Amino acid sequence: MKTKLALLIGAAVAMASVASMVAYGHHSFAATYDESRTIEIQGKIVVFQFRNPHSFVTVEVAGKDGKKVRWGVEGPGSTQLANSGIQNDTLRYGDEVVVTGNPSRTPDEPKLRMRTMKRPDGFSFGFTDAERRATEQ
Amino acid sequence: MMRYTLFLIGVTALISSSAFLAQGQRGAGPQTQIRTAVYDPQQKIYYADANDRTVRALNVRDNVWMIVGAGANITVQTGEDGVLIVDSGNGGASNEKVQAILRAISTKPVRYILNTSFRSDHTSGNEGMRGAAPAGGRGGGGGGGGGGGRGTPIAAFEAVLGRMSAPTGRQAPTPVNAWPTETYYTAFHDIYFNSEGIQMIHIDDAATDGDSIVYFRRSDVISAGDIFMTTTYPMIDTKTGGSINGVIAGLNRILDICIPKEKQEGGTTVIPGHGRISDEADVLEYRDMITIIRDRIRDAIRKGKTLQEIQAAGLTKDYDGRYGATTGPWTTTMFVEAAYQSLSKK
Repeated sequence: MKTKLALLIGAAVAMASVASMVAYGHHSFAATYDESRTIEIQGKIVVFQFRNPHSFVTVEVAGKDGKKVRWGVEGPGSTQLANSGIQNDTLRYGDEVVVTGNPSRTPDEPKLRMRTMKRPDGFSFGFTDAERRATEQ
Repeated sequence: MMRYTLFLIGVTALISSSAFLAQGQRGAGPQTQIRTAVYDPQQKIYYADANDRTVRALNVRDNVWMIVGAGANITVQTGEDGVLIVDSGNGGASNEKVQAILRAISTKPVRYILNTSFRSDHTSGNEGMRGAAPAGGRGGGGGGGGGGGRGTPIAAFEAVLGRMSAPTGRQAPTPVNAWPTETYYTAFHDIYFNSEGIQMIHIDDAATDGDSIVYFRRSDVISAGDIFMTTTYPMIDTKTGGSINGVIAGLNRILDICIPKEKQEGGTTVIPGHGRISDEADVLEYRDMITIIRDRIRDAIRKGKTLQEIQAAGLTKDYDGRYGATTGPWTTTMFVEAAYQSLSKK
């Protein structure tokens, strides 16, 4: 009886471990982005991928030399965005936006973890409550 | 204990009967007539309707079909993953006919849509096809009729999205649900579907600035979009970035991929944007024809001829019988003007 119970507990622990591995399948922000720094970019949205576990926005930014650089901006998943009122058609191709975020740990890599986003028509997004309030000012 | 068991049986019976009644009410509602395609085994063609045979599907190779009569040609690839279509036709009334054919070809819903161009005869069916219904079951994704639904990806070159949508606050020319959801801006976009590698290849500034050709690598079929048409001169739209040199570059790209079976015949199959199923020899003839006309117009421009003089010179006369038109949406005069404009650009 005791052996059976031990086997059952063992199986339950193994299943829980597998489940947690699946849940953490997507990557850690801190490993990819430098969360101690925040930078700002301004440009035109060319791609908006509204999906889980993370959504992506590609922003085309004009450099000082006139060359256009595409920044990959990683944001919360579609569920979290939807809870903030953002749907798959909220951000559109051609929208001009100002984005702040944590830069990539790889030097000169045009990638950001989104903290805030603002559009001239008044739309704004903040990752935390404090950031949301800051964008609304 | 007995009372408790009887109570449980009673509750179960109540739930079952109410579910049965609800089912009956659904069944008693107005029934929608579902169109059924008819098959002609002699010609190996599916017709959307026994009475109206304009929309039909021809088998190109194994699990690849071409649907004609609903706008631009629609390429269909079927398999275990579902149905993939290249372009979606005119939409509107023809959507239902195309769906009747898809139901006959496959029991799976439309799971992928690729657009070779932003033009309405290629994309107007996007929204309807995202909900295309399978023959017997309910697909996932929440689309109307149990198809792939809103989640069905629509892949296209980035400029296609730009031309079909509009930034926030402006009126878009097409509905949101018809817009490409998976765009690319590089030379290629790779997709693996139904155990087959599929390559979308962008051709710069051809008929428009957003054209793709689609190459099914295992089936050895190319869906050429409006870069290749057997019915008319290429429909070059200079206002949306099209050019005659871009079309020639696109045709040369198709010829690079094509491998004929024997004596330039057979082998790689090419599905044109409009017209009949073709092979390398057909594309080669078309490429040569456009190159010859391009050279004639370019030579006339170099000699200082005006557009009016070039139009009057009849530089396309030897091909007009095959590709020319004096009326309709794309006339010879319009083609010569488009070629002239794109060659005159500095």
